[in-house]
Amino acid sequence: MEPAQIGEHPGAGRSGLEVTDEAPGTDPTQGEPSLAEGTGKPPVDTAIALGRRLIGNLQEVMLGTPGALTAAVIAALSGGHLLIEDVPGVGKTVLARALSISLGAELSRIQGHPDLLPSDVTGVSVYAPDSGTWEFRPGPVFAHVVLVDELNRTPPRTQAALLETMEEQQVSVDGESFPLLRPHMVIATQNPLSQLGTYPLVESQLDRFALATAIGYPDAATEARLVLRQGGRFALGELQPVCTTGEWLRAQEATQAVTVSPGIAEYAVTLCRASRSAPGVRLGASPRAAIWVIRSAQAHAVLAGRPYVTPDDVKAVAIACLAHRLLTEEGVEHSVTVVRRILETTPGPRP
Amino acid sequence: MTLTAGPLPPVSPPTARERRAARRVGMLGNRRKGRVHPLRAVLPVAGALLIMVAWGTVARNSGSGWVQALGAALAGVLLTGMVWPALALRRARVHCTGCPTDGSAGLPVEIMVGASARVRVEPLEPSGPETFVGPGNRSQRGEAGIVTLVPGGRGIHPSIVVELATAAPFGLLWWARTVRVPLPTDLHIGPRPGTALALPPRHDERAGESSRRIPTVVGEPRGVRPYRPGDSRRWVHWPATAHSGELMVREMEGPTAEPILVNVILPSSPVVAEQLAGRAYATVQELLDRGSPVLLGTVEVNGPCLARVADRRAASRRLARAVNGSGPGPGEITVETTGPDR
Amino acid sequence: MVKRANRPGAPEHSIPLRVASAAAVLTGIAATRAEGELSTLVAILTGGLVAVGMVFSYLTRERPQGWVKPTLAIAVVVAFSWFFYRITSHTVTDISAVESPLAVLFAWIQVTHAFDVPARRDLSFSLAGSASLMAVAAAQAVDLAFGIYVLAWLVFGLWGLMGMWRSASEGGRPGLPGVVGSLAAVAAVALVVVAVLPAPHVAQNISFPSASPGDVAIPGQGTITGDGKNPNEPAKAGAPGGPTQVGGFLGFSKHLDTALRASLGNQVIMRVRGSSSSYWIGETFDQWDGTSWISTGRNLQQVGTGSPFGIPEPNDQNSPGTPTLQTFYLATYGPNLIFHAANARVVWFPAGHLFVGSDGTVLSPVTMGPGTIYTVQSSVNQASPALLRGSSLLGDRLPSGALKLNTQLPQSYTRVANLARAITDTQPTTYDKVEALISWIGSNTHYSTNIPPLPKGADTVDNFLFGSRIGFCEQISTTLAVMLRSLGIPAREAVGYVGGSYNPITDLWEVRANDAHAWVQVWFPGFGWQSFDPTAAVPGADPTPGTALLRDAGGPLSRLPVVPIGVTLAVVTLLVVVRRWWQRRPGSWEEELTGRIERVGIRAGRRRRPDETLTEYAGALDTLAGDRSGTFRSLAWMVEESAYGGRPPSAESRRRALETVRSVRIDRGPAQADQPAQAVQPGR
Repeated sequence: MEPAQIGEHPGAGRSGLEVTDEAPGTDPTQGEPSLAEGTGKPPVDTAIALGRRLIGNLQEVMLGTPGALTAAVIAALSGGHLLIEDVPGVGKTVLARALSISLGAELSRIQGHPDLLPSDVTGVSVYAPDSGTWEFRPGPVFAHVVLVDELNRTPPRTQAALLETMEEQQVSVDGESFPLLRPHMVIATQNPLSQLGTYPLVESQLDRFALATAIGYPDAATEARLVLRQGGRFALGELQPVCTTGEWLRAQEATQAVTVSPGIAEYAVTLCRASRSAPGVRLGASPRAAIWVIRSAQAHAVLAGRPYVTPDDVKAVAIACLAHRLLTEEGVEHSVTVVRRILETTPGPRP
Repeated sequence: MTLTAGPLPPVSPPTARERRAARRVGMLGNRRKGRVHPLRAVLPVAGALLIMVAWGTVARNSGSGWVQALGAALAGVLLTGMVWPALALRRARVHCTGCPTDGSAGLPVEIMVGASARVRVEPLEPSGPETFVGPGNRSQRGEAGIVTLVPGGRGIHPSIVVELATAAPFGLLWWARTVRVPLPTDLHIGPRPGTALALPPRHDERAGESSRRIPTVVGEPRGVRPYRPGDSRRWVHWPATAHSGELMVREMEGPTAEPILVNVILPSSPVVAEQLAGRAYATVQELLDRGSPVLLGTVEVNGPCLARVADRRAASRRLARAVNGSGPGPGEITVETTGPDR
Repeated sequence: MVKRANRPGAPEHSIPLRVASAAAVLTGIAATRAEGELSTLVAILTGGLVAVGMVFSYLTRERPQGWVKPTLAIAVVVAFSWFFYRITSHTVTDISAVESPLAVLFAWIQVTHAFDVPARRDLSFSLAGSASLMAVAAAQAVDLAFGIYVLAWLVFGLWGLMGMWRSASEGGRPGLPGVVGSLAAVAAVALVVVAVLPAPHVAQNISFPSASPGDVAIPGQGTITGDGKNPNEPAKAGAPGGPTQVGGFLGFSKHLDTALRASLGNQVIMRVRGSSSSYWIGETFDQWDGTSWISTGRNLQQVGTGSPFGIPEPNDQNSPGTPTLQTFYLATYGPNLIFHAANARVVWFPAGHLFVGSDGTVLSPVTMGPGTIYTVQSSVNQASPALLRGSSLLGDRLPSGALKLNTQLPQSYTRVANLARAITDTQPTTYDKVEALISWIGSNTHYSTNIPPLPKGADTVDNFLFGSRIGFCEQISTTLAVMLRSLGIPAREAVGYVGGSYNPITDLWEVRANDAHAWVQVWFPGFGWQSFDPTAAVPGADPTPGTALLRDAGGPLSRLPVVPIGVTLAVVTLLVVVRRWWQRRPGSWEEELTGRIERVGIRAGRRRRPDETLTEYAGALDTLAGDRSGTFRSLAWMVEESAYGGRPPSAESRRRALETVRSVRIDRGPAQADQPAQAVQPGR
């Protein structure tokens, strides 16, 4: 019963925010790393700056949960979807709201419950008597940031529809396709403890989430501050966007341009392959997992102020990217342990 | 309502086998960790020396070169037979390929152990009977053998300590090495169920017409779901079962009943602590069977822990984690109802 | 609680293990039979009973029959009683009988044991018991054919031992590499033991073998027969009637006719077990007639009433020597001479009496052929040159009769005497004179067995010295003896065999027909008859099995093309070394810097874990060094930016980084614990 393990990075506090502050790249004695200027690539430094501003903004709201915060920003920068698995009341919704506000995006919220129909998510074509045509009324999924609360309480049909949109980046209704807004980010939450009356997500659906994280309980001092500040909601009102959705999209593109050397990619693939043969694992990480490990590592590198990915980035995001995809005999807690053991036993790349 | 159970007198001191195992596990800590050492070497070595001395005498007295040549071959066999197992043991690797996640103190737990060479495996911590694993006639190369652990007490084992021994290939001298084998999953050894505390009948049973009536399922029925191990058979929803063809049980919206608090304080004496934990486990089990939500309070390494236990396994794990000597005095179990049914 | 030792083991169900154990025992019995220590009847009986007993044990392994153990106990008692009766009531001569009581006892113990082997441990006793049978058999083995039994026994024994492990480990099966490796280890250890241990060479004081399987009495008192096949055929002293027979060295007779020429075969005449190789003397001759040596002063007398025979000291022999033992295993029929080294003192021989001459010649009263074994204890008084040089001053002289006989010459030999005097004129002592003559002969004559016959009427010595100067041992030794006699030094001719070639496996000297030899014995007052071989140098040092093996292997090895092999080996070694160095060599600037950082860490006792990233490791080193400025992290950052970011720093930065890491030390002493800032000391 240690839910705080979920999505916890190896040394979340160390590699999360603090690295951003203390990375050698910002060491004045070494000089600012010259970014990829004039190479035709999207400038990474805009993404770096955006990332820093995002982190700073979110810290205003989310206190004492650097791991989840970093995961959320990584998801935003890498263009992946985020799954938050935690008990109620730790600020899942606040995190999603703060992120959407900071990104200058509109947030639409879907509360999962057993009666939720696919059309409630995607939208529905209604007959317009005046024009005599079927008119599509977009559902809540048509937003830049979609928060799906308690995803595992929605019936599998609806889950499937929602997750389909996540993958396809479009909605098909009555043979007509409607593209989603870009950037598009789904933040889903589920409560791992109360499994009563839920429809557990199957592994193929879990695989669509780039990262899974837990928020975890804040420590006593932070909790006291939280209570004073009304759990962050107070701050939410004062939160200002740090960018527009256009800038966000460009930052995503820039993040994808972060250099990944072949050795790093190999390391990520090795980790994923190792998860397939790890003891106690019934289903290992898919090739898609390796892709998201790399993209998340790129975002992590951006947060660390680097235009290139190092093995540390991969290690930092491995648990968040891989644990939820593993199907073990023992559930999520054990998946985290498995990934941690894989990290401990896989030799890192050498320059 | 508050029920308290004090400790029972200890039953038996640890057996000689357990003491021996503990001593050998203790060697892990000091310099002999992982050192390959011979087992009961005196007799084989003395026998070999005797044979060689006798042979030398015969060789000298007969003056025959053939005796000497045979003696050299014999010396080769004896020396190889005595040293080879040590070398084989250094190279032997064992790993656990499968292990259950939960077990009970005093009850056997079977784990799958694979070995690169045929070795005798004797679990020391938790202890258990020795068995042979590794490639052999009855199992193919690399196929895992089953090692049985009989844990003496509660605990969580991320790894087990075993003594590997071999006398390959001539069976002349046994060599042993104590190694720690990581388990793929933590092994939670919960208490062995003891006698439950005498719980009062539920308030709606006070009429007393039957002491074994169907327990009221707390919460509101919400739907049905497939049967999962651990579900009470009284929750089986027969119409749905008939309809779907597989066993279905009713499931409830979050329980609304007030939970019953079971607080366990274990004494420092391991034997008494085991018994108390066993009783606590049985009590929680009975409460769960009644359908009551149970809040279990224990003291873990990190401090006191009070949380709901959903099923037996959760209770077993919580108690596995509970530390001995967590409170002053001889230890106790208290059962309190927190709700309005008093 | 029942003690473990008394608890019968679990019933052994493995049939292969039982088969292997039984086969090892049967091999032992067969080997014992082959060495003649069991009669065929006993061998068949015991072998059959062992097989039956093994089957019986297997069938009753789970329900031991109550009557078996008492019955077997009685059988064992009976066997032991018979054994003690045999060894106490029979004289030593009877050890020569075809049956050895010890072997019979072992075989019967195996039989009784075979009926009660329900458990694995009992089977191991069977294996050990088969080893004792093999030991008994090996003690008598003299030829390489015994190797077949050794090989078979080793195969069965190892099979059985592996079966033991397989059974003990509930079906463990050693893989092929394991089997091959362990067998190689067994062979290696055995070879090392053989090479290191000195060979036993000779029996020591338990029993001295002697056997005479087909003895036929030789008519006449002390007749020398030429061939043990026919006791009535006297030794041929004259011209051979036909092709020379095996062992038919014409010298083993009353006469040695140096005018005869014969070619000797290569057949093994006998095998000798002795503490060292020696000249095995058959007989000596004292009278020289110009072409032949004749034994005249032998004065044979009959000694003893049974083995062992004490040989009376010859009246011209006075000095005690070192006792040494030799056992002779005859392989062919031969003369009834009992060979020995130096002077025989005790002889173990399966006969009622022996004939001994005053010159030390020992004759058997029975014929000797294949299977005849006898042991001789000799007294060797080989004196050092220094002692011999002083010998004329001390000790007694030859009795006058013997002196006269051993300085006898048939004619004046003026030329020979003049030559001998010319050679030895400057030599002060007898020994030096002998040595001078030997060296003169060695440098002025040639050895050949293929020489023309002696002309009619010619004198062998004259013909040799002033004629061809080519000859073989008879001519050479006779010449030396005659030259010595012409100087007044007592000398006589000895015939016998030289040591033979050493077989390291059987630990025996194999004496062949062409090892027959003739040499000279010179009298030294105080030291007796000393052998001198002018034909060849003194026999070589006592070889050990290891040196013999090396010597045997040395021949083929020395013919190998050493230079090409050496060059190839050197090139391959060089290639391997270069390749490893190439692989270890840091391939890039990043690898070099990483390696240097790791070396700094290793020196500080903090090795990098394989899963650790360079940044993590550098951070740990910074922490270890108490370095807040992050020297190592800066270095790691440079490496990673170059390796993963594709942006190598300038050459100057690289150089500075390498210099930094080269000069950095992490001191972990307690004194530095308070001053972490100074713990890292960059150079310059």
